[in-house]
Amino acid sequence: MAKCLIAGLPSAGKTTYIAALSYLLHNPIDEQMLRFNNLPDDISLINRLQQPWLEQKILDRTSRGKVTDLQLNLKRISDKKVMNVNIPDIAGEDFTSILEKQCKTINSWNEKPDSLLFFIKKVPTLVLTESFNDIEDGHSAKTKAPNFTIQHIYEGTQNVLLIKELRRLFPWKRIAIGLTSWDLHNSEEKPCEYLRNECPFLSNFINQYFPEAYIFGVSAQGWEYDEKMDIDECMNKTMEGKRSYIIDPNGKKSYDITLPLDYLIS
Amino acid sequence: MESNLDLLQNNVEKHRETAAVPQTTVQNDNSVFIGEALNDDEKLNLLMTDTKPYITILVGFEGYGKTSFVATCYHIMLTDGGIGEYKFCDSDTLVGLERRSFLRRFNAAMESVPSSTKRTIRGEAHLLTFHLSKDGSEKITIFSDHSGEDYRKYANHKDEIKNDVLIQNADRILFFVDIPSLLDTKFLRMVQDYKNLLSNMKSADIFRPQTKITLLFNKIDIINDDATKERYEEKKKVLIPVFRSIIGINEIETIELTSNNIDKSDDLKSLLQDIAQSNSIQTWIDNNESDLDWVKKFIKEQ
Repeated sequence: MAKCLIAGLPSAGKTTYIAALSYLLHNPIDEQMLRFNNLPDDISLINRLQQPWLEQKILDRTSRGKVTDLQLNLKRISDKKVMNVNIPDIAGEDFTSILEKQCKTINSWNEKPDSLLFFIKKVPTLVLTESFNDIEDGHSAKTKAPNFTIQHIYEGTQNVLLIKELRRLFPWKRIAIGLTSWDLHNSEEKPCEYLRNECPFLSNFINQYFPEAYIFGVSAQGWEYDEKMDIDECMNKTMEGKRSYIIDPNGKKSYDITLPLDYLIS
Repeated sequence: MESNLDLLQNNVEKHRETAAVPQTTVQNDNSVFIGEALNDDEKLNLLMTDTKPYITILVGFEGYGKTSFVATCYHIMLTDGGIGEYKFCDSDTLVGLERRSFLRRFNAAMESVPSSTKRTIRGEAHLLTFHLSKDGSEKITIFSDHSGEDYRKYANHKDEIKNDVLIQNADRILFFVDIPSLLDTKFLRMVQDYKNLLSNMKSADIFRPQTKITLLFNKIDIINDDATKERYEEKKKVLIPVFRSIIGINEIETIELTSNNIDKSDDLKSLLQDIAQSNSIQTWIDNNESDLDWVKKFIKEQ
């Protein structure tokens, strides 16, 4: 069985991708690379994941300390190869705790993944600002030293630390890096170019140690859920299989969001 | 697919079969996070390198700007992705660097906090690494950022510095001179402190011909009028000969910069670039025979 670990910091978009993926597998489009070979007997988990995504609601954060394993029996259309894929949904906070040397949930997960699907939502460009805005205001802030916490670590650095530590914990062979909320980036660049411009250190790290990484942009939610959104258009696009999309490493847009998974399990 | 990390990791595991961590996440055992600065010189044994890394020692007393200097170097590496032709691709001590960045911001925003409180935060390990790549090949440069208190200890106790393996293997020593102290009543104390420290370093044979010595005059931005400039030049004329005579060299490189000003960091960038492109021409010296040179031992064992 191919085992793929989906990882990322909190709010990176892991669960949203799983929801969109499960819907697409359930409702395949023509050009789709991976499809269900057999639907699981019990599809309640898939339905539970899909439901808020279908209703255009923000997905609940995955609960800490819990590993929800999604077992998928898939078939690749190109060569008819059948494979079982195990995708666990683990809270981003559990991944963050790895950086604090507390990773009970991750350690308790018995499966050893062959591959890592790593999501990055925000790649901030402004780091180490001269002003110190993240301490409390008021007198106490002027006389008392704040504690250094994980929140004070630049997100690009947190991502590097997390990938390194997951590498140490699990001997995965392949990595795909998904830059989420791609629809908000307004970028015409290839995903690897975007990453290089927005967070050169993270890009350097990946290029140096994982030069074959599959770096892609992904918009799993498809829309910003706000008052301006056209609910019916979103529903129509969902039914057409054109709500979620990826930008592949060559910069080509595809509605087949199974492509990164296909790369990882090949 | 075998990544470069596998190849590098395999080399280290040949040497340390029981090692549980890859070399790029060398652990500081007493730390809260992974990727802290390293507190033990022998942890360098776990670093991935087939040659001696280039070692830069930041020397200076409390408040002279060493931590700001490292934090600014890290900032440049993060935002520019490297320096010159070298890309910043990893560090074993990312959290150690982040802590210094935090401290730098903290100092800037909280001028009224007693320095003793700041130093409490500062209770930090001193070894910091930068992995740099050029055309795919990788090298490591190491900074040692001891606290000012450590250097005061080295100045006051002759034998203390002999236990510092890293400083004895320095390729470059940056002596920080705090310009505000140079210009006020702290000047004589600074001169005396440096006399004591340099003498102890000299007797520990730290100044070897290959070791590059630089005097770094920090916080140059406070000099903004002719009178201050004149006073500054006078004080330099007193201080520099002290370094020359004790170290025993005729010419000594001097650099003027402001270590915590990102917007005016051209001089700092030039220095950082020079450090990045420098390679160690020295071999390890280990007076305590503490098994520091694992690479040499590893090669011999093959």
